Amino acid sequence: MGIFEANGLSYRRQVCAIVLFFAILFGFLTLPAQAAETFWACLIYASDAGQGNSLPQRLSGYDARMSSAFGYSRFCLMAQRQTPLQAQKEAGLVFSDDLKIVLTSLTGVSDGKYLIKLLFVEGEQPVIETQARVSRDSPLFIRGPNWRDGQIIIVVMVAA
Amino acid sequence: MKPFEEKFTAWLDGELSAEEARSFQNDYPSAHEEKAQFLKFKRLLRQGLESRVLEHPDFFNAQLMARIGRESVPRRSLRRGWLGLPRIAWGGICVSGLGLAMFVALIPHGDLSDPRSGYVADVLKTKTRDPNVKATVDNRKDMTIIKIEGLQKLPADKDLNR
Repeated sequence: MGIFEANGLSYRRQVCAIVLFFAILFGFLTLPAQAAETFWACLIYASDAGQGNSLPQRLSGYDARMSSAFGYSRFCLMAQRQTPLQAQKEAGLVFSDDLKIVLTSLTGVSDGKYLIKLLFVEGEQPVIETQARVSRDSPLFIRGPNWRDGQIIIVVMVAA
Repeated sequence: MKPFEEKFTAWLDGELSAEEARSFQNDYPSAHEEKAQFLKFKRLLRQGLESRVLEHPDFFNAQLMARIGRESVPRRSLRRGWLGLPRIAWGGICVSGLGLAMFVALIPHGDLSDPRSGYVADVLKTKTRDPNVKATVDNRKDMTIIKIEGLQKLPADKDLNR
């Protein structure tokens, strides 16, 4: 009787160990999706003056689409910033002292997508607040204020 | 016709009819001596094989079970070992699961021919704080734009490189 009980316990332990093994394995496999994310943004000056583009590496391949969407032929990178994302913490990126993009909320949803809340602040005044569902490395474009002979475009992205 | 051994056994056990028994005894007069020896031998066997009553049956059973337990452990491990069927089965399940997990985690999904095929940027809600400012969303293929109208033009001498 005692022997059979011991065998039953051993079998249950084996099953528990295997279930635990898979739980830990899947936990480790899903961790990298949540870790090491950065909030990246850049300021681009769009105009028809001059020649050639200087887009950041993260936006390579977007030249033609940007020309079509914004109606300008030249795009010049003015500045880019990035900050590592931390859970339950706001992430803010400041350009030229008074243009600020704040990621107020980031929530992971299914299929590796994120639900984000953004705040665009000019000076001390919040201008717009946006809620969006984005995937990693998918840029969201904001057509901003006019500047000189063109326009300022703000691009934000949850990047690896 | 029955052979001698069969007749003799039946005679010893008293299973022959009276007529058959009489005929057998006439044919084999020495059978009586054989029967006497058989009965003596049978009595001796019964005396020697009488069941004994144990003085401490619980202790005896406990000792017996302990010995069985000791002897069954190495035999079990030898039988099952690392190559036992259940372990091979569990090993197969583990390796399959690991392979599946690696497949899901490491193989890129989506259309590999277009690096931008995984583009997702859906604007769910946009709210302006300034009543003079208006925001509209332009959803294009692989490009989502929030267009803000009504913002004041930035000064031309503003340094945007900082």
